[in-house]
Amino acid sequence: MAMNAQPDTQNPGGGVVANLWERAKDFPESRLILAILIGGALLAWQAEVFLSARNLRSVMLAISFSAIAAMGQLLVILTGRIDLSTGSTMALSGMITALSLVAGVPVPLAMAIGVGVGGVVGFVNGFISMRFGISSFIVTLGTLQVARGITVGLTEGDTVSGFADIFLFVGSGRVMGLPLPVWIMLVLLVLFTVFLKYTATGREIFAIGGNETAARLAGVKVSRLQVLVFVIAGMMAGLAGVLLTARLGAAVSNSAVGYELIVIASVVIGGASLSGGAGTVLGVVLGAMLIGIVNNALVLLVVPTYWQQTFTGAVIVAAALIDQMRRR
Amino acid sequence: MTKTTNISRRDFLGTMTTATVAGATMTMWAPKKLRAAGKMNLAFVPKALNNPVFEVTRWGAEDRIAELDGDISFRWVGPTTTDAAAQAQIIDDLVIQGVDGICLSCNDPDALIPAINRAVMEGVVVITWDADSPSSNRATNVSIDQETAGAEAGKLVAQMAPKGKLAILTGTPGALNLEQRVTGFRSVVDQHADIEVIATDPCHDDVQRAVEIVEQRINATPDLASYFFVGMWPFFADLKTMPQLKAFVERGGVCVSLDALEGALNAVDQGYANALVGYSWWGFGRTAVDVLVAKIRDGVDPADPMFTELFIVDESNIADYMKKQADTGGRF
Repeated sequence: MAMNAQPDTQNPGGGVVANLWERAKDFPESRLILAILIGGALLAWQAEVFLSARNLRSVMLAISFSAIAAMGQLLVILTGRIDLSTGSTMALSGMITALSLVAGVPVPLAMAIGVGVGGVVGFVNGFISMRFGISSFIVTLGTLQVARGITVGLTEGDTVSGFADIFLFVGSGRVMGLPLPVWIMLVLLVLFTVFLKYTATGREIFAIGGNETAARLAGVKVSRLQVLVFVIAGMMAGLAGVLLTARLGAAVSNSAVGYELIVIASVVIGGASLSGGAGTVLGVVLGAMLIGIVNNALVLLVVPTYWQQTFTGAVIVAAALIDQMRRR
Repeated sequence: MTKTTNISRRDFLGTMTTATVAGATMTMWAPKKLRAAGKMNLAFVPKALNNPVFEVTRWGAEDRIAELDGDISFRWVGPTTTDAAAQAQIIDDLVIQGVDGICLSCNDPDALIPAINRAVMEGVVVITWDADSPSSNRATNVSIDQETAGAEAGKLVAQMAPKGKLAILTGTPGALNLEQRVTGFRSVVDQHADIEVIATDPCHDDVQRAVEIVEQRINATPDLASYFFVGMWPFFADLKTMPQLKAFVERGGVCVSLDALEGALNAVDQGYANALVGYSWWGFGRTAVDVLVAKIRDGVDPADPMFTELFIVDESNIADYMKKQADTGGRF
């Protein structure tokens, strides 16, 4: 005891820092937060404009879409499965919302329809995967194609635009200084955290990913819960797609191509295990934030055009390594 | 010893049902053998079905075929997203189905060579539009001179913003036509010592990313003097989602873009861009049909390449183009 107390007496500031560091090490997202802070500081040092309110708003807005979709993906990954249809579901939901708006459907209903379409895609993913025992990788790879095909087929590749201003406001309008999609992301961050941490269903989702057989034996209705997880993931992708359409003021049939990779990367960078059973919602949002900051850095640091993908990929791998080091 | 396999009635019925549905679907959708006496079968293959600019070429081709005498069938077929391998497979399939002529916009100039050459060997007339495959045996390329188009944009920028910082927004790095445009553009602006090209940002043909980049670039460079869009990606979004671009132009910044389709015309009309270097995607379709028909019916070898004229849209003539757009729905 005396030995432990001595440094505090001699150097109280150092003791507090050491104590905080000890506590922070136990905080799952500490290294990711540190990486974001260091990366942000370096970026701000190189490009002052990084910390300007306007730039941060733009970055946060860009992050919000992938973070929302990633929250749904997190649930799927927690159960040890994967959803590759995210980007196509986003495009389909956005397109259906756009077509509904053009047909005169009121904005809230059109948005609900878009989110519902995402839920339907999720249900198809979950149902086929669980009912017929087909790997979610294969099923969602199929629905990735189907959803994208429907999106293109509905409009023959054309862009749909000409929406009411209120819909555009949903996509980028500001409330208390922040774009609305950012508020939606923050509300969902709280809701998903509470759901996973403090509800029986949330804990059961972790249990499925930890050990599916044990969860089944413990009375968890695995198939039903798994379908629910895919439905929620589909709805989150749908919501992200609807918001993205509102952001652009147009539904583009090639929007969100490859988004699933960004979304899965956000989840993994955020500390989730691809084998299931581990991950946090805050980690997912931070993972999306890191990717958003990297994208911003490409512009602010004027990274050479042909090297940008290398730069982005290297940062993603580095972030995953940092998280892996924490686990060890 | 005989090995027996037990199949449950449910499995058997399930398999049969699946096979029946699949068979019926394939029968319904399977394209018929096209080549028939007296009928000319043309197929257009865009880079991807999800890119609206190609649709305008489709309108042009369909309109021209409707005007021509003769029994001409038209097919529009392509990969859902830009994929050279899928495009090559489509060309092979079209040849098997017996088309007489193919017009395609190549996802890759080299990767399409074998498929194009196989089709030509089979007696199919192949031409390209927009993106070319110059080393293949295609008969011609209906397009624009990409470098000249870039150079025209460069002249506009140099004229309107002869000094200061300049940013470039491009699509997918390495895409031949975009690279040629940038080369042409730089050949002009690099001659102006007072113009400093500070960045060439790729949006990978993603509208969302294009809008983000434009915002962030304008934020990051308060003294930006001019902006060149190698294609009109940001203008596929609702213009109201880019207030900073409008503010940039309002405070004297210059924005010039390639392409003059509806969204880009609106951008000039509403003060989001100063000038456009345009060309007729609709005309590509018409010209391509004429070339194919002349070659297939009369054996007329086309000139190679066949470049369409460029036109400039700015505040002096935007009203005319807006009227033309409204009157024709983009068929010009």
